[in-house]
Amino acid sequence: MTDMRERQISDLLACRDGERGEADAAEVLARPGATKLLGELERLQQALRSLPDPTPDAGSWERIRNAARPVPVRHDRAGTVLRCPGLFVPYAAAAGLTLALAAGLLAVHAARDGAATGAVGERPSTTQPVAKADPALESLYERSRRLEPLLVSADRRDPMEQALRLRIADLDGQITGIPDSAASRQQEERLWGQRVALLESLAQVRRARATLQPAVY
Amino acid sequence: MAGFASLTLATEVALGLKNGDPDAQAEAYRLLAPSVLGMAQRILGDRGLAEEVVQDTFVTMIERGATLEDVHAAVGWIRQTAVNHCLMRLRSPWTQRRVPELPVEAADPREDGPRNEGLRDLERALSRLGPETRMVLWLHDVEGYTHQEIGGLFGRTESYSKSQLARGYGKLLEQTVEPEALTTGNRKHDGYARTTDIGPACLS
Repeated sequence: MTDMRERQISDLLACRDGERGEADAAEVLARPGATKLLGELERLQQALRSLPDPTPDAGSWERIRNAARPVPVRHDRAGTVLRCPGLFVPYAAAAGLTLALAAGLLAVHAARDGAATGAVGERPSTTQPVAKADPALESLYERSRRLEPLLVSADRRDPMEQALRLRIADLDGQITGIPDSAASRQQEERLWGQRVALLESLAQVRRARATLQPAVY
Repeated sequence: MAGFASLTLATEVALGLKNGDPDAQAEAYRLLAPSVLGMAQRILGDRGLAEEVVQDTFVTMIERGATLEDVHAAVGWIRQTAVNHCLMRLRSPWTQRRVPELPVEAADPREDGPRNEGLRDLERALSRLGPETRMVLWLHDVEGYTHQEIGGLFGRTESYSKSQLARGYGKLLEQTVEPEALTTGNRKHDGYARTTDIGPACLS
């Protein structure tokens, strides 16, 4: 599409949305083919708005209810929402336990990351171009993809899970910034490796927490 | 009909969200989930990611419903939450590596005919746009966001939103109608319908 065509469409959309003054809009619409093109744009907009909404998967609501942990609140007489700090005590206790567990896991993964990034001298040379379809990288993408649902369901109030989420978000930022070149493939592999390791930590934390039974008094 | 424009939540349902009432939450999901899914699917071009957005949006609704200050703004709040989750996924490096073009489902598999064919063509053309272009197009022309709001979402200017919108329409027109057809009405011989086929005739 040429710049001129894009500008023509932009002018017509501005007329359609009332962003042009009357005289200006009249001048734009007087150009050859402008009215017809405007008609097409309006019909497209109508068609977009008429697209039917799909139906969510059966069981979707049940999954949402199970994943959600509503924040305990109460209201005063005027209906104002008040936080109930006492209700957070069990959460704080559980968070403390998972935080201790997390510290250990992160240390293990940090050591593993160090090894993977060349601490034992096994990194391939950076001058060696790596093919785009690098099997190791592909394998990391696949492992990351399989573990991705853990991130979606991560508990934002759990300090352990939150810490892992933040580290993953930081890595995502770094991965996005990698230039697309063969020389950067190694850096990419290292970062994706760290991402997978963090997701695996999240899986371990989730499993460990599932085995913790609440105390009954 | 796509979009949230025609949707409203009864005041008692919105109040129920604020008070953590499970029945109100279920009712809000029933009313709004198809629109959240439709918007996310069109923006992200992927059914699986769109289902994730639905899940995250309604988990947020349940967990943070108590923080809703204006019960009359409940639909807008849920829509904005869904938009934020879409944006988060667009920025994810994993999502950026996905193949953008995905199979397009029939608008209504039980129905066949020119209307459904036209809508399928439009869905297909939409899925071929860049993700940011798709998002700008959808938010501006279906959801009614302003260019300023969209520019703010992307951390860009109003002009960025305008140029993405024009580019998006240009590409949709290229795929659904030949430039000459704008004056001659000739159909493009590549299997795509003209825009007129997905226009008023198929809207009834």
